[in-house]
Amino acid sequence: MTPWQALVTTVGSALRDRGLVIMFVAAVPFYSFFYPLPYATQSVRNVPLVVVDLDASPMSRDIVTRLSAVATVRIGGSATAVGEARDALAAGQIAGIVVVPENFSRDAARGTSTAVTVFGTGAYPVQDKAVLGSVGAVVQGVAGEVTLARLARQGAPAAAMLQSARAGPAFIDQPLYNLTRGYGGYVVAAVGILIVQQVMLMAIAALVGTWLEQRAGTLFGTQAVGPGTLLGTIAGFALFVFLALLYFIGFAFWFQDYPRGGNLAGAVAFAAVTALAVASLGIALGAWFADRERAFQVLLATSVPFLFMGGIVFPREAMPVPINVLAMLVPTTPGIFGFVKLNQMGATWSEIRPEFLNMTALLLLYGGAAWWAVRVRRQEAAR
Amino acid sequence: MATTGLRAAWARELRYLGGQPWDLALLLWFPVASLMLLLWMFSSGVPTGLPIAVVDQDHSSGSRELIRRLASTRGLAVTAQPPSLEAAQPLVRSGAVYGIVHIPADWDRDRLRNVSPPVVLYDNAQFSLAAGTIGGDVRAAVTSMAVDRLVASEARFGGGFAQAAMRLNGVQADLRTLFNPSLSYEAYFAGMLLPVALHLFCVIAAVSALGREFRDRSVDAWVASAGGSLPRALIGKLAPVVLVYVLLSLGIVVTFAGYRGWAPAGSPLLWMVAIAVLMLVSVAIAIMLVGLTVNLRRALSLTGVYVATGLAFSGFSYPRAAMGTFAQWWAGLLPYTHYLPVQQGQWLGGASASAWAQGMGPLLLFLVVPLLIGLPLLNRAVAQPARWGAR
Repeated sequence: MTPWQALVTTVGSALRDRGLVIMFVAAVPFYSFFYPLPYATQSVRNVPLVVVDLDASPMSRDIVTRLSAVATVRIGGSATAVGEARDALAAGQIAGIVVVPENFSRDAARGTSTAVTVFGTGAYPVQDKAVLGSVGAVVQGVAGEVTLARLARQGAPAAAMLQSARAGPAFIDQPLYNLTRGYGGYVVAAVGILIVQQVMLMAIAALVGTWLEQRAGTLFGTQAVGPGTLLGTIAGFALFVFLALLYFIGFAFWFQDYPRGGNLAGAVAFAAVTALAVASLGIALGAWFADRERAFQVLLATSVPFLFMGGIVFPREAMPVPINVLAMLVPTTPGIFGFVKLNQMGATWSEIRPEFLNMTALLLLYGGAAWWAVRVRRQEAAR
Repeated sequence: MATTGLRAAWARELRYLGGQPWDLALLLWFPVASLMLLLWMFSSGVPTGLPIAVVDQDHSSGSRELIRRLASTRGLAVTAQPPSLEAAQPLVRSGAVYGIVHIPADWDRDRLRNVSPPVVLYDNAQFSLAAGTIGGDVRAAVTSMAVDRLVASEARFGGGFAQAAMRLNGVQADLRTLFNPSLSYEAYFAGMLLPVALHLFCVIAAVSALGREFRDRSVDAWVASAGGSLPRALIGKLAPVVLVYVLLSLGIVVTFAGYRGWAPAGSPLLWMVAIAVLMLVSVAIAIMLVGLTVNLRRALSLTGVYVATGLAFSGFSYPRAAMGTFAQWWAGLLPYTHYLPVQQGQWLGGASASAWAQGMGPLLLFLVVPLLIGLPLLNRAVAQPARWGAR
């Protein structure tokens, strides 16, 4: 078979398999809408707090009023002691407890040290950071006003107070990428690539497994299989992966308004290499599994380890070295890093060199593995 | 008679597994390997030494002091000091550093005059966790210097440094994290991912055990082995899955509470009951999925949609209260959403037994409802040989 014939036969076989055509064509678009749903709101909002106001003064009520104006949290109730609310926090029914101590407004006016205490829960770190950050900001706002009022009473010169009131912050934390710090902007950019890989690996391996069962297709039919046939088959499968990647980085990111388009030409080129690597791996796995359903059974459960091995969610620096080495064998590891750098961070081609080299090495490795696995299976069949 | 049917179905299943290394691996070795991998992945607990670049355009004793404070922070490692922001940005884009700390020219001098421009951290929010860690650490270092300086300036009004510090700290925000206060990502990530991974593996194993009888058109032989009773055939077939996964799930609790040496804040026993119920729920869901599809491949595809995406909707990282209406509603239909607070309550929070019981209610519904849907469908499919063998 010429490479071109193999490519056409492969594409035709994928589109004619009534069970798998959904995987090849529709699964990625489906997941591109379904998976980001929880993150569509982008930033933590509406998480319930319980207020324990032991002061019951105008100042403490002012704090509660200001808290209720913060989008991150909502006042979910009040209690007369911390102990009452603790169990609800432990059981995850509320996200935090705000305690205004007794004599708070008196101490604040006097200049005696006092503090509004906020309890978050480390069982949910993302929520914890959002709660502590937003309540802390409200309290600091009140503290600044109290300090200014006290200074004025103590007779500080008006000019100095004006200057300190106008002083800018001492520290600014400015994101370079994902400018809104959107939670979806960070998760979906990475998981999108994972979705494409997982769906496509399952589809390709299942189809190759089916060919093997039925002694059919480009690789396991009666015709001889040369390098040209394998290359054409890889290219045929890679076409689906490539289109799915383009759909994600071109349409899905745009339609759902995630950060995108930093280095589009680079991303398209990298998508081509990634598609060939994933297609080769899919063929190798399919020939190894030798079964239509096995790919689903094996690959379904790998998504979570693959995502975390990728090093976006949990930094590589914090993972053991052998895991980072192992992770380099999975296309999503250079894939997610490379695509996030190109799409979301606008990296130049030379800045994704490590990912490009890793992906190219995987293409050669899995291309070789596919060749070997197909040969072994054909020899078994001939015997 | 009843027990002989059960035993025959159980023996038939074990015989099959003994002859099929792939199915045995899917049932047992893959999950064990995955759990160990996940546990190892987060064994460092808290990320340390995240690389940042510092652009010091001030070159003063103050800016050098700030760099020293940054470098001495456990979470940070100052790995580069490029001369300008232009030279620093490629370091972020290439992934060499997670952020740039910029100390502007004349920062120290202007600081003494109280008109200083801010120190800016340019971080990479595309790496949310790393950016958060770095942001907190850099802020702490900068603030610690600012506070030292403020106290010295306030002390001019008399009363010494101690009183000056007290005056400045008139009203404070006392921010505390209860339960897992160090934000150990081992306790958090591994604590959540191990059960959800096992839940998924268990559904896959049970779907595979049931679904392959339909795929291979061997339903007759299977039901006949149990004396023609579908309930007995089901129990005998799924008992190995239940046994393996309940033991593995208890192994998770034992690993955390025993091997890793942590003390669950609540009751390890209640946690064990909850995680064992999650495994039973997984088997019930598998019965429902196979009953709905009567097709191994389709049942596995549905497992992908319904179970494998469950983590994202469960609120394990992004809180459920913050999600949109549809996502919140869908999350409510997933068992892991209901299991999660029960586990976190016993494992990290130390929630009461009554809170546990309240949380277990919905989880038990996921045991009953899928069986109510799945069993009649399965019963019908067993009687319709024409529907067997679909791939």
